[in-house]
Amino acid sequence: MTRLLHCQIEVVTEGDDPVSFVHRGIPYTILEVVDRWIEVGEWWNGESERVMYRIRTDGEGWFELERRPKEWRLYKVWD
Amino acid sequence: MFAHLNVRSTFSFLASASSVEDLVEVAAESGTVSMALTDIDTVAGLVPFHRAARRKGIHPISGVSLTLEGGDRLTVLAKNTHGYANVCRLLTEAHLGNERGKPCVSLELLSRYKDGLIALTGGWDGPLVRGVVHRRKKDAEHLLSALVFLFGRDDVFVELQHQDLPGTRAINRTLADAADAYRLKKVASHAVRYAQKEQFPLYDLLTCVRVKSTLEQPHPERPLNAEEHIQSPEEMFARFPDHLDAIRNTLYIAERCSEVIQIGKPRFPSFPLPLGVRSAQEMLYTLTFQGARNRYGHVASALRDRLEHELQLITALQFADYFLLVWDVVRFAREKGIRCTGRGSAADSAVAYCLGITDVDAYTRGHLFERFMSMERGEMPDIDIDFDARFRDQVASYVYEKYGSEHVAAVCTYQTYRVRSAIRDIGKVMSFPEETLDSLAKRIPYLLSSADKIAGALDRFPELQSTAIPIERYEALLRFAAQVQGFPRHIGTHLGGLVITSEPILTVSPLQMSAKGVKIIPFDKRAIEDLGFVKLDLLSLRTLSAIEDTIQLLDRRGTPVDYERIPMDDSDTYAMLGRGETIGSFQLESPAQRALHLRLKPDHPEDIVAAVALIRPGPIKGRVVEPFLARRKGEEPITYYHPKLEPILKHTYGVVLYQEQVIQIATAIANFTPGEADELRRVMSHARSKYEMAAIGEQFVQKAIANGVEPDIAQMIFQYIHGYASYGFCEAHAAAFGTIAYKTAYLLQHHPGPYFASILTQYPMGYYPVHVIVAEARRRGVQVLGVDINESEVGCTTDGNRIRLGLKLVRGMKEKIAVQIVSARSEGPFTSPEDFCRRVPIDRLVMERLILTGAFDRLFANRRQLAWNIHDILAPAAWGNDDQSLLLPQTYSQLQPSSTLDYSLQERLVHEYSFLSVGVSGHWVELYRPQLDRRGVYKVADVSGLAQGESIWVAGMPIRPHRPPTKSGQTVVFFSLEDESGMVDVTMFQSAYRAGGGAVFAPGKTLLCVRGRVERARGGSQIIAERVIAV
Repeated sequence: MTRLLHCQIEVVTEGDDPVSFVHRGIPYTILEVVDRWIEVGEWWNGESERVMYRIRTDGEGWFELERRPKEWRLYKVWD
Repeated sequence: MFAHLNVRSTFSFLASASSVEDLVEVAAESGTVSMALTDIDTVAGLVPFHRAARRKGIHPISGVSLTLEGGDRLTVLAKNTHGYANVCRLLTEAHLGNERGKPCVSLELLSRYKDGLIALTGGWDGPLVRGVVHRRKKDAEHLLSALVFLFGRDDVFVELQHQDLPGTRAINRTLADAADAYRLKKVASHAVRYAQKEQFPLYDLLTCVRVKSTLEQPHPERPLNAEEHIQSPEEMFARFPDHLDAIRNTLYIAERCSEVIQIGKPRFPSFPLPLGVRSAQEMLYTLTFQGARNRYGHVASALRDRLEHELQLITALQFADYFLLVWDVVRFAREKGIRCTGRGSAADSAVAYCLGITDVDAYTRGHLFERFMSMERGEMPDIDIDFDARFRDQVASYVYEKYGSEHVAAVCTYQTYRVRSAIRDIGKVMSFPEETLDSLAKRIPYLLSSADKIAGALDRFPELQSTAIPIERYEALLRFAAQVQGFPRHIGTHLGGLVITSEPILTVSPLQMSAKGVKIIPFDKRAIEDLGFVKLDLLSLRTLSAIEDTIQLLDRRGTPVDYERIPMDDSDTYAMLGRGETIGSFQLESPAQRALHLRLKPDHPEDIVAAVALIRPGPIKGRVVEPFLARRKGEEPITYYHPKLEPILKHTYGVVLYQEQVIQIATAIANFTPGEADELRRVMSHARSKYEMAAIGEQFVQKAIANGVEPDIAQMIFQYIHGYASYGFCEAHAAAFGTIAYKTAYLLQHHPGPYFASILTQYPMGYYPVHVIVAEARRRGVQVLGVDINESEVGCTTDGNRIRLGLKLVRGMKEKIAVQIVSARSEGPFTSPEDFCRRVPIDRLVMERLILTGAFDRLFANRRQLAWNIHDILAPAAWGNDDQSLLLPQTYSQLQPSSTLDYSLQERLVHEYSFLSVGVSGHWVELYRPQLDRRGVYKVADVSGLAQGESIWVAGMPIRPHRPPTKSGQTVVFFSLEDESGMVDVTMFQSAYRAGGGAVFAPGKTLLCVRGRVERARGGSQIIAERVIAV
């Protein structure tokens, strides 16, 4: 079961990759970037390219993060 | 170091956004050492690919992405020429063995043509990845086993790709495991679909066009990201840190794939020699001198020298077989009574004239052979031959029979995106309303054929400003339309090109079926030259058909004319040309030509040749026309920079008009060899860079000085020819067309009835629509009668000064039905419409059109009543269900009024213009004449009697509005106005055009009112438009 959240979050990175983030006051440490890909979105409406990360965190959390030019978003969470 | 092995160009229609040249350019810049071109089911791009790769120092690999049964794509690369031949055979069977446009390859087919090939398992559209993604593990295993069995372990590679797509890591892990399990090597590739990242939006748009979606609609085949562009070796290493062996294997593959396309290698067939003839050269010499004796009676020593010179060059370049081949085709046509003649630069050859290939006496006219072929250029000469359009296919069949269908195929052409098609396709993807796009595409001027001009279109053309498209979207649409210009969109059949090869075609090119049902090779004209094929251009020219018809009509009338012996000095013909009364004559009928002739007052065949060359975009833009006319009329002195120029430029009054003259000048002044001089002409003609031009100029000046020419004079001469060279026209071609042009003018002057009847029979041809030709015939006193079911033949006929329109002119009338009508009449005339329907299997639509255009008027005068009765007189089987019918459904036929009033004149004209393209009951403008008279609108015939500068209104049907390029870049619109009294030419300058001239180009316009000034100059009258109103 997944939920789409689309909420802005703070992410700590090393290089380009995320290493930890905070969501609703809870810190998560990223144990593994399971997958990473790039999407273009609606370029014809001026949307910019974004990098998607599927990650596994401590506590066996599974998330999808979205890196946009000026922000990070928590896109999806697996319950 | 890295080699790209999965690259698609625009030859994969709508599946790539970059040309071959762009891909190679960017690959070279990125440090790629070797690259394969792997277009989908075609090798069409391989020739330009090899050309570009050679230029950029990249090792080219020939490959193809084959569509397998089921739709997956497998990449195969040719290791050698044998492998390439197998690619050609695979593609041929894939195309010819399946529905057109849906080629596919089975494993069984692969097993037959596997030798010399390396197979890659394909990318994300390949069978292996799809097997993994769709969990068809067994299918994937079966495929791998089959590939290993077919190609062997050393020639199958498991392809890994990393385009930043979801699941890439997992998929590549699975593929790597599979490779290990099957003891296969891995190879890294990148799906390259465009050269640079910026081209992604265009690629997405083209994908939408391909899958028929809009930008807003998701589709599985649309790209998820913009990563499918050329990667540098470093970027590829970064994408595959765990598979460096796969990167190295790209080079291993590249080393094993040799360059299989040999550019420039001749593949000429040998001409089958008759018994007793030892060589092609011997036969060519014999035929040439036989022909010379026939043409000239006596072969003078100068002529002999000229022929020897040409023959030596032809022999040295090994083109003797080619000349014999062309000679043989012309001989066949002549023996069959098929009218034909050579055109183009071949008319620079005295040998071609003696062989009967051309009708231009190159020797007497002093044409320069080196414009046609030269030792330095060494290229295949191009001989184009025009045939009576009706019999061109018969001649082509002869070529197939003579050389065998395995050695002959038709050349293809690529229909490329033009501004209109680009706007329609891309606009649809961008969700513009269809009617808006339709209207916009129709209004887009033809001038907008290149990307740089599109940007300024909005400002320049008023008709574009009246659309309802928001400016930003409109700009985006035009920007993308500009980017897509020139991309191949469809493959088609070249109008006349056939290739003949020495080795079987399938060893050098695949074949596929064109929409016309002709087997074509996927290489276009330019690629064919590079491949060293012999190409024959067998063209259809309807003018030759019209000439033949005229000659036959005159024969039947008992007033035969020998076309070959038409006097070239007929004063009546020249007088007619000088009055600008040229509508109907070949090449001389456009408004620009008519205006030129009014000023030129030709009195010699050379004037006609010059006229053909003068009215071209180049000479007009280059302002060659004015000095030519001024000097010819003695209004400007004829001067030469150097005495050596006089014999070269004398016949064009000191103006450089022909390409041959540039060559002669470089030879005479700078001592260039003719071949070097032709190269100079080619560089100048193709607007190369200023550095290249400067280098050539330097060479010219230095050699001229060494030849004894003063430095400043040498410099001036170079500047002079530089100024004109890019506009020059091939004199030989002008002479070939000029001869036909004059002779058609002669027929027009002396036999207008038969000649106009023949033109109308051969329609569509020439510059004007049918109603203009009919109006001109009437103006010349020829009576034009409508279609009559008991009088009309298939084509138009004449009994002297009357033309009876032919059945073929009725829109929708098939020739077969027209023949049946004429044939049925041999048993006696039709006595009634019912009698006609009993004797001819006519369908409802054609019957309706015959009625509405007046074909039954003499049997049943009331067209409306007859139309109402159509279902009572037609056999039920012929009723059909055609929704194009203008008439009421059959159930309404019972509602026929007892006394039906016939159609009004307006209704009759609507029907006649719609279905016959001309009014036989009257002229369209006659309907408006009472109102026009009340408002003081002049008839166009009155214009010639008005004073210079008089401001008037005229009205008429606009004919052929166009905006030719001008040197100043200003838009000038030319069109003619036709009313019931004749035709007058109208010129509209930019200010008037921008103030509302768009009405001229508005779709569906039938009548225009023009306010303007009368301009009487140069023996004619025209209107300078100030205001235009669509009625």
